[in-house]
Amino acid sequence: MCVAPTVLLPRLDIPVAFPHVQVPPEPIFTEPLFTIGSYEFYLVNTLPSILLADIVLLLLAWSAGRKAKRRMEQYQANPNAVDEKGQDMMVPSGWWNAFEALLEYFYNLIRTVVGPQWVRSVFPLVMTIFLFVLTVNLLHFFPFVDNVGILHCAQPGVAKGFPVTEIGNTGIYRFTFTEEVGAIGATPTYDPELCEAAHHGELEEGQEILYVLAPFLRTGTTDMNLPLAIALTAITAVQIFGVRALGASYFTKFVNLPALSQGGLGYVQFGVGFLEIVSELAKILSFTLRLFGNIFAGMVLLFVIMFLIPIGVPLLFFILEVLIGFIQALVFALLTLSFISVAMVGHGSHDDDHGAHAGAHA
Amino acid sequence: MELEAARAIAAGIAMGIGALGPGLGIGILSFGAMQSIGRNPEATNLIQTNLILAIALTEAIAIYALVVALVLIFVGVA
Repeated sequence: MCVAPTVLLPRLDIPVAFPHVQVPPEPIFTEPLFTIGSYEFYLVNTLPSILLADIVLLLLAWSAGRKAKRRMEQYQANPNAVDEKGQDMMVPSGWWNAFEALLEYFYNLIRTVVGPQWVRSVFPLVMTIFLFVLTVNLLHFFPFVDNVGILHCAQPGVAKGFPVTEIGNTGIYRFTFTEEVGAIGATPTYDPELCEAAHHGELEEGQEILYVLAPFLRTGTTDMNLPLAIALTAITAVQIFGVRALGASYFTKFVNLPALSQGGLGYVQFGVGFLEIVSELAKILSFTLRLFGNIFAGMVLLFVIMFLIPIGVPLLFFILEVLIGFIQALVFALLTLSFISVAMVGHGSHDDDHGAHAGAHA
Repeated sequence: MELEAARAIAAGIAMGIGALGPGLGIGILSFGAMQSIGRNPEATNLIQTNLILAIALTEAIAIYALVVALVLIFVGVA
């Protein structure tokens, strides 16, 4: 087992290897964690990154909430007290201020869209989606994400591999270039015995095998499972809010029995109801692919730019990717909000006071 | 034709043509938004929010093409 940073400088005999890109997340260990029946469950590298994002988000929320609570108590004890900057106790600062501004913006936005009677139940869901997706996306820019991990033997048919050299005597390895392998790696020939020998550090002189890197951390949203899970949660919540707002009549949107009694156009309306079911499923697909596609493409873009011009230029693309990570989180939250507001308006009743956001359809 | 070459060409075509429509669409959307902001600067915030939503929905089409292209390039290639 060994570790390799892939992003190093070329022309100084420190090569920049083109990272191995694959759509499903890489298993950190080659052995499955556990098996149920014939299904094998691996520890994939998006899982630690999602847990890390959870911890970061919880810590931020906890520290902001603790500060707000402490200040509130101090204010109640002595309304004339001032903080270290000489300001009133209830003037927010630091993370508390950032969270308060963000939450207030969303709270007001959601109130204008769904109305004051629903804002308290819709707000937690939409806000959670926004903060969670944003944190996971921005974790992309932490050090060691995507470039430090465990080396595995490259297997033919899966990925191209690189030879490695040890840095000093540290047990840490980096990729090396040779003329025949080149900068984008070579198709490996897989020899299980050689791989096993290399794993125990018993590779003989002159023997060489090719490796791929399974990073310890990879952005959670570059694994299609996470966007799918959030999309399923969001669309399920949309149905629940629809039922809560309209009762059983919500389902006439899908199976429009009352329209059948009208005859004529009613039959058409009944048929259109089934298209609504397809439309709900398409929303899940579209949610999933939008988030996954944007962030995965961003990851590949950063890899390619880092490989082509490793100094300076990637910074510009990092800025672009921060922007995209933020916009995708915003879009996910706002689309959930619009779908909820559409679902809560009765079918056929043109209730216009639900704001301009009700116009979006997938 | 070699399979890998065919995949590379197919991915290029998928992304190239797939980006054409959404590109035009986002252009038209932004055109409309810019014009309305110019006419009614007070409505900027509302227009911006809706513009981002509309762009996200338009962009989703390009993302479908992108996913197809990525799958063509990265899935099952040695």
